[in-house]
Amino acid sequence: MRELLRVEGLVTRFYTDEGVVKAVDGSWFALEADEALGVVGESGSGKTVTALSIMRLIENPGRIESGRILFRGEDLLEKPEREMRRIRGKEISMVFQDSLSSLNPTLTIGAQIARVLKYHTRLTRRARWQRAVKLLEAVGIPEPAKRVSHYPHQLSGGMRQRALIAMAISCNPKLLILDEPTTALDVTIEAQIFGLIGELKDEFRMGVFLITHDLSVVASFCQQVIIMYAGKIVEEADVQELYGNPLHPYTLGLLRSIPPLEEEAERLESIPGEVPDLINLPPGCNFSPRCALTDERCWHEEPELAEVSPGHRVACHRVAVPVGVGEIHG
Amino acid sequence: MIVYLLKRLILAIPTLLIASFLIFSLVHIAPGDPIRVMLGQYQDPELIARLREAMGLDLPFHVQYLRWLGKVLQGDLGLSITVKRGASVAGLIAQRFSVTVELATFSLIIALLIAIPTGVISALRQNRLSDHISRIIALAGVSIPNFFLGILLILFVGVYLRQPWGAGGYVPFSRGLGRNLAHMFLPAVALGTAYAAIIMRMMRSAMLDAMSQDFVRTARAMGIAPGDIVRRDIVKNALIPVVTVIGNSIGYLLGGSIVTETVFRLPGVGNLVIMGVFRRDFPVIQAVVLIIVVVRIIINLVVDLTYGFLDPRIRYGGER
Ligand SMILES: Nc1ncnc2c1ncn2[C@@H]1O[C@H](COP(=O)(O)OP(=O)(O)O)[C@@H](O)[C@H]1O
Ligand SMILES: [Mg+2]
Repeated sequence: MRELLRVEGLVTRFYTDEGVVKAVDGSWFALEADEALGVVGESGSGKTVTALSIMRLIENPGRIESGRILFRGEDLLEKPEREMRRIRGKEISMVFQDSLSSLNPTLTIGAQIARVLKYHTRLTRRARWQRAVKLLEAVGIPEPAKRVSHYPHQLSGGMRQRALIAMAISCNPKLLILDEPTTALDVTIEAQIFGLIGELKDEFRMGVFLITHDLSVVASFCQQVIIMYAGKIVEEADVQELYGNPLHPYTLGLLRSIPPLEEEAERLESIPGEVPDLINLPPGCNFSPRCALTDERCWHEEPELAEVSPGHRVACHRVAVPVGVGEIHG
Repeated sequence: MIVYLLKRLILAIPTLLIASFLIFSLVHIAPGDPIRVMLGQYQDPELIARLREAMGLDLPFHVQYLRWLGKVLQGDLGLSITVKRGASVAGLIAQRFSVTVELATFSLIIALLIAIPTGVISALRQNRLSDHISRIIALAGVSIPNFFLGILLILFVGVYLRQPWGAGGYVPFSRGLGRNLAHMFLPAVALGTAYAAIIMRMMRSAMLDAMSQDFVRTARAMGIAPGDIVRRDIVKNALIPVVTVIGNSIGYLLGGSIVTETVFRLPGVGNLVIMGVFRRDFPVIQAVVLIIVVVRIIINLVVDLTYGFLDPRIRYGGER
């Protein structure tokens, strides 16, 4: 397998009037070509900001402070904006959460897809439109020739999300970023959409960066998982390892909060406490105020992300010490 | 679309009836009497009574209203009592209508030409110097009453610079389009400035709103060129609320034209209604106000149609 994306020491901050928001605070991870990486964490943990940083779409008052984003070996942070525009939509694409607000209400679906093709291909006007119809067909929209000239509000939520996916894959990107692509949809449609994304991933041989707060989705779709908490990666492992041998107390909390039945709504709220304010982070471990296993060290010293077994990294004082591992599982 | 239009037109009927009743009542409740104005210093009670009877002013209120309404429905707006005794009101209005329409249209064009580009630039350069400057000018523009701006313009261009076209007065089309427009320029600026300021602020905030929308981020994530995003994602969506504001505040142009026509001595409808009010010419006031209401209803309809043109969510509602 070839490495597609490597993020090294990414720090992204927002300089707001209230203070500096440490939205992403030193992220390291990598993604293989045609691998699916799941990024899980409660809302506000920095998942979207990580994705937008990769695409260099962080806007004022935000800034990427340091780090490297190596896409196929080249650092995107070094690229001029012009070059980034060529990469966005063509090499790296992103599907956003809310399909209604993510599509321009005044342009037809076809016009929006054809516009992407205009910037990244040499197709003629007519060929772009025909390709838009083909793409809608490929993502399973019935009557694509008719739907292509519909406006976003004329489609159902599931159809809109498919159209958004069609737009994102229109130029065969190598990396597809999905930011909670199914939160607005019901469970049946969610399953259909992930089925579709899985097929497209194999067909187009894409790497997928899937943001979600739903660990059960990750289990069925991804090979590798990152758990984020308050701007930091707290645990990373492949799916089997993460589910079979979860180590970080936060990961354990997330896994416990998956309801046994297929229920909707906020599944993660069962971890007591709240995500800390990213402007005034607690000293020591960010998770310590909510953690049941804290000791003196957790309150003063930030834990480093350390490898506990090959490919399994975790940032926790109580785990890094071998005795601690025993305690958690004891 | 045609069904929609018809529906709107039918809905306009009760609006017009209510408006006509209000106009008629207000004019008759307000103090002052056209006969007394007409007679000037010869206030002979017997003569007053005879004239009142002759003009039907002695009849009960509702009878007067129904008579007037009946005539209006037949297209007869009555005769002027004091402004130009015996002249048909419809004729008086017709003579002056083109002046007011020209003034309002010219002001609207000036306002849009100033407001839309500055609103766009201001928003794109938010919180930078050009944004601050245009916002300060806009604030001044809204704050200065248009009659005052009109007087300043006359003083500067007409009196100080001694430009013939800057001193007010009207030149009809027949005496040359250039001269006609030149004389209309300052009134249009005086009337259009505040309007431009209102539209500019609205455009700026609608732009900022559109810029923060998710679909703009989607377009950026797809590698669309910034100019294309400004045009097709930001401006196009920002115009939707702005068109409504333009339409809804067109009443301001009509109201403002009354004052502006007076300051610049333009023989428009606004000028006519002012004379009507001073001389208690009931038929004139009633007719002009009624026509203003009709014009507003028509403008609202046009605005709604434009809105549908800009916003497909209205054009193709609900269909799934
Ligand atoms: N434009 C912005 N301005 C200020 N703060 C921001 C901005 N975008 C995101 N943040 C902050 O960054 C943090 C991480 O946000 P995000 O990445 O959206 O979380 P999530 O994990 O839910 O996707 C949040 O605390 C959020 O308030
Ligand atoms: Mg998010």
